[in-house]
Amino acid sequence: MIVVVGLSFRTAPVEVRERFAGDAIEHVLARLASRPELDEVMFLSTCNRVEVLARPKNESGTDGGRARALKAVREELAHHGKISEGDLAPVLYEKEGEDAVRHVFRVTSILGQVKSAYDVAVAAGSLRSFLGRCVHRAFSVAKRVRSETAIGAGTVSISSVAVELSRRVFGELDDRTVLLLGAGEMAEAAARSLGKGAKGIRVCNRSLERATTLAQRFGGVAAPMSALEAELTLADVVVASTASPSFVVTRDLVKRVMRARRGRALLFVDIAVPRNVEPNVHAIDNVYVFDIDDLEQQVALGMEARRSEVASAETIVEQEVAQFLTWARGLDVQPAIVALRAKTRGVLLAELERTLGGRLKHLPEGDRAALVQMVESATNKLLHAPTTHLRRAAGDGDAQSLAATLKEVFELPDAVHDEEETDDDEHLVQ
Amino acid sequence: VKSAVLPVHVIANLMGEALFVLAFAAAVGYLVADKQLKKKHVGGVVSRLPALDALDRAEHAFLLAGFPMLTIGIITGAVWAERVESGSAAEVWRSLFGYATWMLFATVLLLRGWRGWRGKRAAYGTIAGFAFAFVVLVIYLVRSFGEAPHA
Repeated sequence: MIVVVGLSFRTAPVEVRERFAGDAIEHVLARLASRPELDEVMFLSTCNRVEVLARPKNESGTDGGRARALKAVREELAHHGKISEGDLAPVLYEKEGEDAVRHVFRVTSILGQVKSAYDVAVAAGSLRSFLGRCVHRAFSVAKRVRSETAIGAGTVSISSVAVELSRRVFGELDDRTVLLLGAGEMAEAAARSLGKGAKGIRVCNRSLERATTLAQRFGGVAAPMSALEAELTLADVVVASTASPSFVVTRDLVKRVMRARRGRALLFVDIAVPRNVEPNVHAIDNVYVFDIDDLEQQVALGMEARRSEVASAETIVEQEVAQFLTWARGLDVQPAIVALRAKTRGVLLAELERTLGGRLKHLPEGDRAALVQMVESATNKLLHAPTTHLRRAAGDGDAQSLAATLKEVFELPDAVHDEEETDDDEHLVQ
Repeated sequence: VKSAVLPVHVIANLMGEALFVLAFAAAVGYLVADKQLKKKHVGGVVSRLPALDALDRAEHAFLLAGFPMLTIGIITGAVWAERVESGSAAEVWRSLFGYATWMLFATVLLLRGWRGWRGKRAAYGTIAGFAFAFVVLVIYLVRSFGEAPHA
């Protein structure tokens, strides 16, 4: 099965999460993939969530493999966040097996970024048949959730909360100016929802070219980062989403700006991680700063109101988890089925071979082929019932013991592999 | 002449007082909304109040409209007082509180215009000014109803 280890806005404050924004995800993934404890691995990093999905190596039988894999992931996460394992432990969540699958399905349903994390892992070759299939399955679950319920992707909700906040502070926005700090995807989403009502949109970005592109699309004005102070003086609502590693908007800057604004109210919506706006800016009179955690909290409250939608999304997730588990448990009995088939077929063909070499030496080629054909279909007919039975038992979760019994009764060897599982299941090779 | 001054004094003061009640209400609303937003509570009370900035502007508008009324009230009051030369303690306190109210509101309005003192500072100033105006009203009511039987 798989394990999930991570931290999110629910378990870790943004002060901790922003420590994980530094390294490129390819780099972190490469380190994870090089750990011998992990068979398959994927790394997800968003402003709300840092998460490692992995399939432990040598998991079956004793639980040692799983524990070692969890430890390896914890070590890598601590290294990535430049934080001690002791400090990291309280904010981490860990999920295994069925819970992990459910978690992956849920998270994928509300996060678009899982797709890019998946692409990176595929490109790095760190996904194979099991985890790869699980995440792939999660995408179709997400599609179902999106088409069958009203729960949309995360960015939509964040933007609508930003609009709601602006209304609380300014009322109607038709004589208000919205300033976008940063010209990325989040800025664009904010422009789409806030821009409709506003008097004007201004875009301030380190690359003036990108600022201009975005500004043009929404009929706004672009400005270079050097004009930040003047832009802040003009704006009413500021949506910050730059990738800057340090604060772009500091307390001193806003104090100067507020003097220039003659105290007019200013709202910052800081959706960047690490944060762009120094937290104590919120303490300045008539200035309000809402960071990503505050917005998430509002989104969560909004979700509460849509509980029925959440419930139907949960139903979908549960169905899909059950289906996936049936498939995954089927994998457990797959080696037994393959071994049983190989043995039966082997015995029959060997006997046939012997007879054809002796008493039936005189048979022509066509008849020999017909006899081989007969052995094949006899094997299939004979094994149809046990195979079906085994797969059904796998779905109910008690496949292991049945497979063991089968192995014992038929004296099946251990080393037979399903073609799909060639070098995945070293634990079967003793 | 006496009969002309008194109605103007009373009407101006009543209208001023009414506008100050509205400014006071807006200021209190502003402080509540501000406190909730600073605590990052967006739902609940805040969602039922008008927008924060609208409250700030309303408070300023009511104050701006009430101030001339107060000015007229104080001038007519001074004229009236001179006429009757009434020097009772209550009368003196009433005028003192009246002048204090005028000064406070003048300061709030001037600072807002000159220094951009909006929001919380303006709200506190408005509430303090209203408290003084309210004291003036109370003194007047106590005196009138207290003295009425003797008059």
